[in-house]
Amino acid sequence: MLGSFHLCRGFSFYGFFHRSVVVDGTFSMTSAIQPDMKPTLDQLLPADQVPFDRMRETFQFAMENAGHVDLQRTYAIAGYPVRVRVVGATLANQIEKALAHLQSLDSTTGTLSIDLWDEDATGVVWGGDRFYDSQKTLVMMRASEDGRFVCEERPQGEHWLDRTLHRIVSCTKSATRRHIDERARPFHRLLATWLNDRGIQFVHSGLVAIDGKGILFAGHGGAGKSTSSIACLRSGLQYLGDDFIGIERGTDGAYIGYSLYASSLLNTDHMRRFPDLVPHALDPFHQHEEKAVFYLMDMFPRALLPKTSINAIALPRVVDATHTSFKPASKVEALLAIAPTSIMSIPVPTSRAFHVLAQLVETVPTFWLELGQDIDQIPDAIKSLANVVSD
Amino acid sequence: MLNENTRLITDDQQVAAKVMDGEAILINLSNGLYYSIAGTGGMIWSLIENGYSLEEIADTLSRQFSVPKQEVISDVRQLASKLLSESLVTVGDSDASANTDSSLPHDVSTSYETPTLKKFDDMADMFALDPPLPGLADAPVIENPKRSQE
Repeated sequence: MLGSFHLCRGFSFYGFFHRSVVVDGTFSMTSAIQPDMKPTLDQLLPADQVPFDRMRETFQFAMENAGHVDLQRTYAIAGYPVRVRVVGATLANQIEKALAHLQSLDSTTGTLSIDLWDEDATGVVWGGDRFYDSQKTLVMMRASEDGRFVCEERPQGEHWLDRTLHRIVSCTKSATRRHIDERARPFHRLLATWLNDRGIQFVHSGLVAIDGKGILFAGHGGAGKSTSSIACLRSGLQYLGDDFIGIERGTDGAYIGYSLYASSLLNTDHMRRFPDLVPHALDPFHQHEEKAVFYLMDMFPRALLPKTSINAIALPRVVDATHTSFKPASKVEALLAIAPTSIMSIPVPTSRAFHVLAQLVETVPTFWLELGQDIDQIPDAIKSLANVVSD
Repeated sequence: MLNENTRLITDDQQVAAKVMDGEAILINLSNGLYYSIAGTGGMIWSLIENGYSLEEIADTLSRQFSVPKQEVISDVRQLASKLLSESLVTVGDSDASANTDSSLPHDVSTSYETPTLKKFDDMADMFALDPPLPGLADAPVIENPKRSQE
């Protein structure tokens, strides 16, 4: 049923079918919908079918029609000034909260410009009937054949990146119906693509810092990255992320980690562990979403750090013990913990991205962080770990 | 059909690979499945990458670890068969010659260990939830952006 619905949708808009994914707590997948077409090819479209310019014109119209923008601000994302303009008050608030810690005093023109509008709030239609209110999350990454344009297509939104002229334009059906990952990490797939072009790679990890030393938490979903990161944040350590961060290898061979979002997505287990955070939880807009959004600048205005060196990798894992402790992990264990989950989280997984992570693992010391029942011990274990690694 | 002259071909557009501490770690970029080859797997993978035939691999391992070639060739064929069935390699030109100039990674193990391919499928969900682009051409950049002076 769902498959046929998407099939019609793909056909009506682009003239051919495409691969889509349905998420509903579990998931199912439809692929290779059109006979005789390789399933991967339909994610590419000729450059002359890219609606980027029309979409930017429509944003301009939305802005002029409203007579104002609800947010115009420059953020330093991985050190690059990024100018963001939003039309639509609720959408503007979501973007502002998610990037609050990266607000820049440099108000000059950004190297990347991001323009967004809210269709319902402005009355300026882009998706129209193509947008629909889904309880499901569908994500479709597409690109122009020449690689210049990349699109993240969703049930209620369409976001395009122009890699050549450093521009993103985005339309959302309604900010009050956005899925939690968009609220917590707006346009992160397009940002990952743009930053990757600059040599900065998205990594599925948490990152905290103490006394100038960054400790990266790596592991698959459920390993304890968020628990470890948030426990450190609550105890006064500096925080850069609990889910996705950016990394870059400096000219001296050392690694730098960048904070990307001042937000966290926590599930009911996390909230049981950190009951003091519960009053700050923003509920999801969709029933199937089992996490809540937290905007961390409201709670920890001085703890969020935009960048740090990376001095160690800690691999959290829950153990049957009271105390939390750390011990050396092998390079292979660290690579298996960090690479597959990170590579498969970025829009274009490549061998190059894999080798960046392998090099990181080879460069910094690696540890198991064995999480005992008393999670309040995590920050002390991280402080001890930081003491045994070099600057 | 595999024989002793078979040479396998790796493709880093399809499979990301790294030999670390004698172990090979492989990720199939098209489906999210990933693998480790323990034992003497890292050295075998490096030899495959350098175009060695199955027999040349067995010769090299036999000399390196002083074990009978017949014992090694059976393991190598078995591993090659699994790598093929997992689409981690393809069969190449058996008349090609190996690249014997490049240095092979030092194998940390002192004795021969049967290579074992371990498969991990826990990324399959993530792959399905968030399917990657099949590939992205390099886009022309008119002007490289500058970083903030702050």
